[in-house]
Amino acid sequence: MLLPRGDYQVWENFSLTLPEDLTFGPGIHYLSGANGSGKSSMITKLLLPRLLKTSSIYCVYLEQQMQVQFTTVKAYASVVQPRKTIDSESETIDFLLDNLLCAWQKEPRPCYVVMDESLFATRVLDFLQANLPSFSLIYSAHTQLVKADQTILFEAISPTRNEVYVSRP
Amino acid sequence: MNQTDTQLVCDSGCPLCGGGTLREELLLYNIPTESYNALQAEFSSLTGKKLSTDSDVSILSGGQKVLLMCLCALFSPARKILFINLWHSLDAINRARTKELITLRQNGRDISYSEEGYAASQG
Repeated sequence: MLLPRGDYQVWENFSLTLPEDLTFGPGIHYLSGANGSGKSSMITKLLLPRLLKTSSIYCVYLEQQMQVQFTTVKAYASVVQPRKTIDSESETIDFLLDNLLCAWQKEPRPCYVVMDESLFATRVLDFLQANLPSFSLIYSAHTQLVKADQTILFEAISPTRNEVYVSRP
Repeated sequence: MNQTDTQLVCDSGCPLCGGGTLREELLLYNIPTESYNALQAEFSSLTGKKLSTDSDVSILSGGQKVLLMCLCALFSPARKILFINLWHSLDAINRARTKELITLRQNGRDISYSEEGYAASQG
């Protein structure tokens, strides 16, 4: 998955500049930056629309503040698996990951998991490493949880523009 | 209801009460109108963003919503406050500044923290 270089107006008064193309292949991609630097905006405005348009992959997105996602998944689960109870955010994540694994076992495709400051990041990573031979994990956090294949840094250039660039180990 | 037994619970997983304008949040926290300007100034100094009471707070970033939640709690008349996973969504600078602000505005209030999710996320 590729985000071409360029200026992206993600909000009315805020844009992200990518001086180079960003590529998200198999591996771990860590998004790092201060509060308000555009990490979530890049996820929701640039990455997810592209991922969701790609029918040849599986994509799971774990929201930063997932109360609405929790309620939605709980309602969905009550229809597709009436005996399944989901009573917490961690059970929501388990449901989504099990769903991903079932789909992958039926028909393997590249798997993308996008986590925005998830409280359950370590658990998700353990699951992916234990169950999938290859995956792309894109996560944002204020502390790096595991060694990443690429770190994507968000740096303020002006109050209305941030630059996004890659730092590789 | 015995006011000494009540606690304002602020969960960073669900930082906005209203999800509309700043005015709605301020009203829901029962913040005195004379404190509005001070709260807005603190928010601006933390984030660089200027909010009016008519500003749509749903467009703030996740961390900025958590900072706003924290400020609303500190400017509210609540005597007991519980912050859940407050630090997880804040960068290092904002964690330090928020800690200072809490110390400054504690005023003998009972402020406690639950960081189970945050601790789990740190392995």
